[in-house]
Amino acid sequence: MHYVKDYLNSLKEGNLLGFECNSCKHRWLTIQNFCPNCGSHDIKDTYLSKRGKIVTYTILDVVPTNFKDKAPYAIAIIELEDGSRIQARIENIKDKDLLGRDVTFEKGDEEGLLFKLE
Amino acid sequence: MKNVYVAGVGMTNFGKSERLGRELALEAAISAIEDAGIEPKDIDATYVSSAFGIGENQVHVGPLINSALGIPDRPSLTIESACSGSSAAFHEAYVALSSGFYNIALVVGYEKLTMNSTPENTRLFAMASDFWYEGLNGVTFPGLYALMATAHMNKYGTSEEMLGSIAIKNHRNGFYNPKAHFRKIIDMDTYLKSPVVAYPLKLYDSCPFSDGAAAIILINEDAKIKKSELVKVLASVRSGSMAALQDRNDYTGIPGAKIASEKAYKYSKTSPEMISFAEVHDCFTIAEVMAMEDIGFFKKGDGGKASLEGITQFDGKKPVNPSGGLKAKGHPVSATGIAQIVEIYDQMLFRVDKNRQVSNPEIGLTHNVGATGGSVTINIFRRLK
Repeated sequence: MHYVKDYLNSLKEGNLLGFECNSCKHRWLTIQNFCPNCGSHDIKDTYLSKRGKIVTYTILDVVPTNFKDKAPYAIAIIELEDGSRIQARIENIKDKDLLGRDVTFEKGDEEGLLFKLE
Repeated sequence: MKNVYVAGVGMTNFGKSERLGRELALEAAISAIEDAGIEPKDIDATYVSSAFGIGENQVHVGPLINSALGIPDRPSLTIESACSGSSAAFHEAYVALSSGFYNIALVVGYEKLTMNSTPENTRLFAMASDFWYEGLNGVTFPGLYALMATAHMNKYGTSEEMLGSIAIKNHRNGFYNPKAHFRKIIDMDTYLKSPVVAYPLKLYDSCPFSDGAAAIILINEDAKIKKSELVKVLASVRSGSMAALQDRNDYTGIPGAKIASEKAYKYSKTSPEMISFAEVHDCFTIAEVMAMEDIGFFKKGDGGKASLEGITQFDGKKPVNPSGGLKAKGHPVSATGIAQIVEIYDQMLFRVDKNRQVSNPEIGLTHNVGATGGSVTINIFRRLK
């Protein structure tokens, strides 16, 4: 079992520290102490895959104060190759049709998760 | 369980105010007390809601309201539940009154936001997400609803024009609501040409940041009051959904809204077909589409089409947001849940502008959502003859 701090530290090392359910094998990133799929408490720490596809997305023009110089950027829900789903930022957006696009982990830091289009 | 009734309502103008949040709350509370024809000393308990009071260096507002009303000895509870704060407060009051523990409650929600810049409010609103896994990445509140909009448009073919028809309807209704933030009729061209905020959502898909307050007096059957114009609470149900969007199986609806409305129909022995009109949480136009589908007004995927066909106009078969909704009436976050109930009450007493008066307001429903659905309240009300 890990905490948010451990997740943030994993990002700096280039990893996505998440969870896997020993009972149903469901995998996820957010801090949930019981499996969101089957409710089991028998879960373990695991590193999630770093490649996936965009399931849904938005492109933001109006952004929080601390992201002002990065706009416009996309925020996407990405289904990773291991089936887990995460939310990440994608910068340098050139076209508006991003559904189903392949993406990979670029970096993670105090500005959260950054993925890039392949 | 004892029967519970709304006995009086009050609301400030929604929009930009120079006054403090606590002053707005007090104004709404006094209006509701006067409307119910009671004295502050008749109140057994006060439920107050605000989400961003900290921006005014003021939390723990319940005792301030009670002190100002001359009833400092009465218990107060100050509740936060993102955009569903005051419907959560309403639910807590309903539980206490239906149990018979209290007989008369004051419920008030308020928010003061317009002193902040849009980027600052955008930053504050992102705090209602699962911050470390959503807000930290730079997603905004409109962005989270835009993720749902993209999914809904892609899966069901919901179009820009369908979303536009919701913005146009709610602006039209708001035009006839003297307390609305925006009293401006818009057309499809204006809607389509408005700037993008969070693709695919535009400025006219979005509700504003507003200042304002709304209050009600809620009573149970044992309360001794003179007023006879009461609206009966048939059901008040709260539910929730996984806090982070990515942890849900589907992004085209809000699971907690479906669960809460199914229970509310069961408890009230009603059905979607029996509801005369609804006030739903249209923080963005796509949210009204999902709301109408989640509460069973329309089949999944048909919400946008129904709106484009005019079914949800105030004089249509299924009026939705005759107040102007969050879109035009405005969205002072924690005032919204009670403001929806104010509209139900005023509609049932036939005291709104005839240009938005629902013709047969027998059973009304309110649908209030906190953040992206982490919290949901569904209430159902009946007009008494």
